[in-house]
Amino acid sequence: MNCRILLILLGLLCFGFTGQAQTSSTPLITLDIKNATLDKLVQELEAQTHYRFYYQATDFDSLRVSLQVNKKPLADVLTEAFRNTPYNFAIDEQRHVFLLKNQEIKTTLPNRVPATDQTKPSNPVPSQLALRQNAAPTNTPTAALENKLYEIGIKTAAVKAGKATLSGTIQSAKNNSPVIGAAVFVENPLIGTTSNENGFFSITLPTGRHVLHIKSTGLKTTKRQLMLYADGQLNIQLQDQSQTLNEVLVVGENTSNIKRVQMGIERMDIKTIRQVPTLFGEADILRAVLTLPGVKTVGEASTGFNVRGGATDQNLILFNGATIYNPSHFFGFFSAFNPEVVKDVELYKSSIPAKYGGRLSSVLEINSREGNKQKFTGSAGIGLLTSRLHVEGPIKKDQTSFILGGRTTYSNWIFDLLPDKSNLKNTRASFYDLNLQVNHEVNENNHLSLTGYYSQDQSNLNTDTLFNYGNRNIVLKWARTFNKRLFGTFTTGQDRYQYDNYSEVNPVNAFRMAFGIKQAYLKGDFVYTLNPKHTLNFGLNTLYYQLQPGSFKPLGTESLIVPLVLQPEQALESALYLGDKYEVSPELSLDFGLRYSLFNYLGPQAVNTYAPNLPKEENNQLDSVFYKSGKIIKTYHGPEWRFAARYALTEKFSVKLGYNTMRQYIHQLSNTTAIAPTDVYKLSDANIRPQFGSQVSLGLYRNFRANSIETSVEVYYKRLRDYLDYKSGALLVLNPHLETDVINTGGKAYGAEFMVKKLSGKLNGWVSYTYSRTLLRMNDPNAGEIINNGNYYPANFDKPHDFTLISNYRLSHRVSFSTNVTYSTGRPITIPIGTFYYAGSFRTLYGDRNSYRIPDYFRTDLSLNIEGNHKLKQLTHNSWTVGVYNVTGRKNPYSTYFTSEKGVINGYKLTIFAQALPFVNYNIKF
Amino acid sequence: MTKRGFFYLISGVWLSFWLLACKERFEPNLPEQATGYLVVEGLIITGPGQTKFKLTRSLPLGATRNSIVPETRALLQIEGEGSNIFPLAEKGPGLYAADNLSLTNGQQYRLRIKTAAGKEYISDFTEAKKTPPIDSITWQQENSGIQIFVNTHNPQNNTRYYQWDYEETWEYYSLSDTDFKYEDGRVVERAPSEHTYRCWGKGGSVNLLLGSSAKLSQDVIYQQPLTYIPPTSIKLSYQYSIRVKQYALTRMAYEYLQLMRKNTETTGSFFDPQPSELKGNIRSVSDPAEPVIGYVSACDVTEKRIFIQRREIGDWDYTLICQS
Repeated sequence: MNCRILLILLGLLCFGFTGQAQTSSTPLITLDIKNATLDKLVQELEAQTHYRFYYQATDFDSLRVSLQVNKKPLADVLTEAFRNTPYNFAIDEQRHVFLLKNQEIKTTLPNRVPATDQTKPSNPVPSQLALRQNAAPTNTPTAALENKLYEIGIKTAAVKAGKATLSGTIQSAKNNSPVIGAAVFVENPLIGTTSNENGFFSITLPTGRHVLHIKSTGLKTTKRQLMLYADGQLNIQLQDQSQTLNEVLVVGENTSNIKRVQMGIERMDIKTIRQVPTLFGEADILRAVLTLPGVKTVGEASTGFNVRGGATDQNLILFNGATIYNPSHFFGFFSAFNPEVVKDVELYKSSIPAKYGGRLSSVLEINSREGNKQKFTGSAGIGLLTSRLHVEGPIKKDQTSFILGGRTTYSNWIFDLLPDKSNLKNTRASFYDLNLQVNHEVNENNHLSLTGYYSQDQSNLNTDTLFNYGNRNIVLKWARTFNKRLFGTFTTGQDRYQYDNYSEVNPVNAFRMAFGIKQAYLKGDFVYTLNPKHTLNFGLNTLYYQLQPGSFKPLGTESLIVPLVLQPEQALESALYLGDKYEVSPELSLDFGLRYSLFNYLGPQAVNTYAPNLPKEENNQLDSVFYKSGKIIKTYHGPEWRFAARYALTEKFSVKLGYNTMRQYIHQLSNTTAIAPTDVYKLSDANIRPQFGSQVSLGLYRNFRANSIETSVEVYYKRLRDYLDYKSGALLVLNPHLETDVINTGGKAYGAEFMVKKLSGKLNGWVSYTYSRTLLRMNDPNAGEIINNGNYYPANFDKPHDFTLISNYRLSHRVSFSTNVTYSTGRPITIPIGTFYYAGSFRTLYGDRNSYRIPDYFRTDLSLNIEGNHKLKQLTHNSWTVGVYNVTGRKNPYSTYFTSEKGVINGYKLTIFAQALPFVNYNIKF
Repeated sequence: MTKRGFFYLISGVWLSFWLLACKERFEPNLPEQATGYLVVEGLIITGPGQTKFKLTRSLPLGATRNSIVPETRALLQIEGEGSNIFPLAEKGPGLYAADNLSLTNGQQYRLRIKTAAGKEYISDFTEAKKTPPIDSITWQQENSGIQIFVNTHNPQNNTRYYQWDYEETWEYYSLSDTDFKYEDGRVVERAPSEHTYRCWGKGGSVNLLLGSSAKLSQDVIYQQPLTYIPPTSIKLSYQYSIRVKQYALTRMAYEYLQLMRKNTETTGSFFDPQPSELKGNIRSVSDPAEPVIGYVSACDVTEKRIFIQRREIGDWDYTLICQS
């Protein structure tokens, strides 16, 4: 019976049925049973009629039927039998009877279709049967079937030639949550779009008959038959690809790769992220991002990542729209996002939409899932070092839902167990993060969402100092559909990052050192479908920064530390943007945008002025001018251009071109190889200019084997201006005149990224190879110091060759095997060119900056994902992840250094994971 | 798995996570570069004591002490703000000194060097600073070894930057008596008066020892670590003495030496700054771009010496066993 019902459930989506079978022509039934099981009842009914019954036996095991009927039609018998029970039935023309629990089968067609159509056997529109899960009655047909012809606009006898705009929302049938980034397209002519963050889409097509395809990761691909007369709306529900029931076909963004105009966009859903083997077995969002071409990191345990030659502070990391300043826990070992609540991530490396700005290199959007609007569910994961939990469910069914996730580590007690000799007894490391998202559907045109994020880290790195840091974010979003052409999102929120380090070992020098950044913002983003060829994006956003650049205060009564509190900084960053997606022809699409950004550095602040044309050094300081609160000290502004074009040579082959310019008004100050726990941010001010970057890129995209294999080649050339580098011995923390320690550097980055992706089938994954260079140059004669004689030198994360293989092989429905192989050139380091004897010891004499490289990096990780049994009805579903990190045990250098020991210089290479490291992780879903 | 078993598994993994980290020798195959930059080490001592400068040249990596080439036959002189000139004499190969110059604290001095090859180098003028006396040298037992600290303060609150170096001497006894000696090609018995088994070892600072009270409300250096004597060291087998010299630095000199220290004595922590260029206050007169290593400071010197007896410390594991 199980198999039968499965087939039928699938069949429901493919074939049409009429409900409420004509009772008049059915044979009459006479029956007298007591306390019968459903099987018994069905046996009786099938014996007396020619109807076939389909149902899930386990759903009916508690049903007992007592019934006495005499010559009644089948429908009446079933109505009687299921009275006051949660069971429903439906009968179709082929004499099939479907029995369902808690789900009613809707037997009438949606409102717009005249009721008379139902009875006409000659009607070309197949009759339909929809699972009634979305109870909200609407004026637009909620499409659920693929063979029905939807008539959009007012029907006319003859289709008027021209174009018309179809808009609507795409929702998940499971919980009505909007489906973001679904590809919506017709194949002939090739016209496509994607749904926005509220599931809204708008597509302009020639009038007439079309087949509209809708594809989205993790959801069943579907299509709709359209007869487009004029502008109109169509809402579409996508069925979930239920992993526990069906063969999972991860189709991803397969066709949009060819069709979308933008380039350099990488998208990963949580399912793909989970397949990437990670340290300790917990799905790690940032580590998965690091496997993408063009994304690099200085070392395997370092905060942040570098995109196409950009510094780590040039990435805008957005969690549901909130800026996360520190995306890592424990200084880079773990990423700060709970995989249980994340839905997908999207990385923009090249074509950055005009609505984003403020960072030079990339935008990483991390979207969390909407809570289930139907029922309470949750999951938990237990690892050796971290555990996580999430619950979700309706607050008000079908209207308001929440999702709450938390994660923590429990390592301190383990350190306590270590023997005294290990010197790790005093090590402390703990962190946690919390996420909350509440979604509320006010009505079909207004959606509200609230996201909260909180993370906290505490560690002493086996030193006397305790390092604390944390993020705190809150975002409120209101998405409104004004009309079928205008859609808007209003966002407001506050982001905060702060650290607080202290040491009290030496009572006289005991201190507490803190830094904090806070930003509050307001954004309005709109999409307007002007006409069939033009879709406009426009909006306005403004961001108010408040920075506590640093404080250093005594701790305890004996401390003689003089409190030092740097002047707080404040600034306003505003931007206005307008973008137009212009469909010139089915083959050629253009997307151009202009963002105009304005930055005001505001008082109160005492600003140092320096003699013109002299190095900004303390002895060249002329004066210090005080500006009152709210007074504009310095304004920077300028246009940022965004341009992308796509030309589809064939349906499977396209060429894209992109150009964009970016401005960045905030800088992270770090002169260490990895981002250190004391690194701070600085706003551009009267003495420190904003960073400026431009990128031109070209890409070729070709899909093979029915879009199941995607290949792409992208090349780019990038220029950086006024990137901040540091003078020798620069003091970056607690420096009241920071401008004297930084120098403006220029840079260039270029590279080619090759990628082959197979996202479906038993074996899936991707292979990528990147050749890229990032070179910096400091040749400003007024800087007081010139690095490497003003020649180009490689940046810390310049790793020319980079190869990544991620593969996942599904051994069975329950077991899959993942591999991650990564190779890259060693990063550049500054090495000694000689030695000298001073103060009783040989000491190293360093040569040109970054003139040597550490040995190449190579690592292989394996993991096996084992799902528990797939019985639908059980309290919990569980799965195991077991694996090995760095299988080959290669001693990849993390850092190298030269130090004088007992009077001689020794070089050392430090490896963090010098052996294969096994891990295990247990996950429960409930 | 039993609860206990699981528990051990977890601790084992955390442990291995830390122990997995490993440190190996790294010997890059570096191109030989002839640097040969002038290295100037020394201080202008204003009060009583010897002003001493050592001139050497930088060497290829991997050089040993035997390969140090002193810069000989140079002419060195200290110049005061007026036209006061104090010549230094070459006391040994590359070693130039003058005793008791009696300069004035608060005045500006500089060093001028003329090498035998005829090149001339000059330092910036630097203010001679007064060094406050050392308050105390203290020690305490830490992790079974002995940690030695220095304490000092200046009630005028104007020293702020300090450097120390030290000499250490320890008395120890040889494992066996020397009953015989070699004389005229023959082994002969020593007379009882010639029996030697009491020895003295000598050492000195090999690290740059720097301290600052710039961030404190008072000019106080409290428990500044100087050196650590590891457990079982022979230095404390009987009696140990440390003589610490203290020097006052200018902020610039302190920053220069601090940078040199960071560049050359880092321990490979994840968050060490990258090595950076050293720029001292000595330059070539004819070629200002020529790198010269060293920083010339002027101050007087204060010193203090303490003794530590073996019996003053708790269990000291050092025992006289043959360690051949």
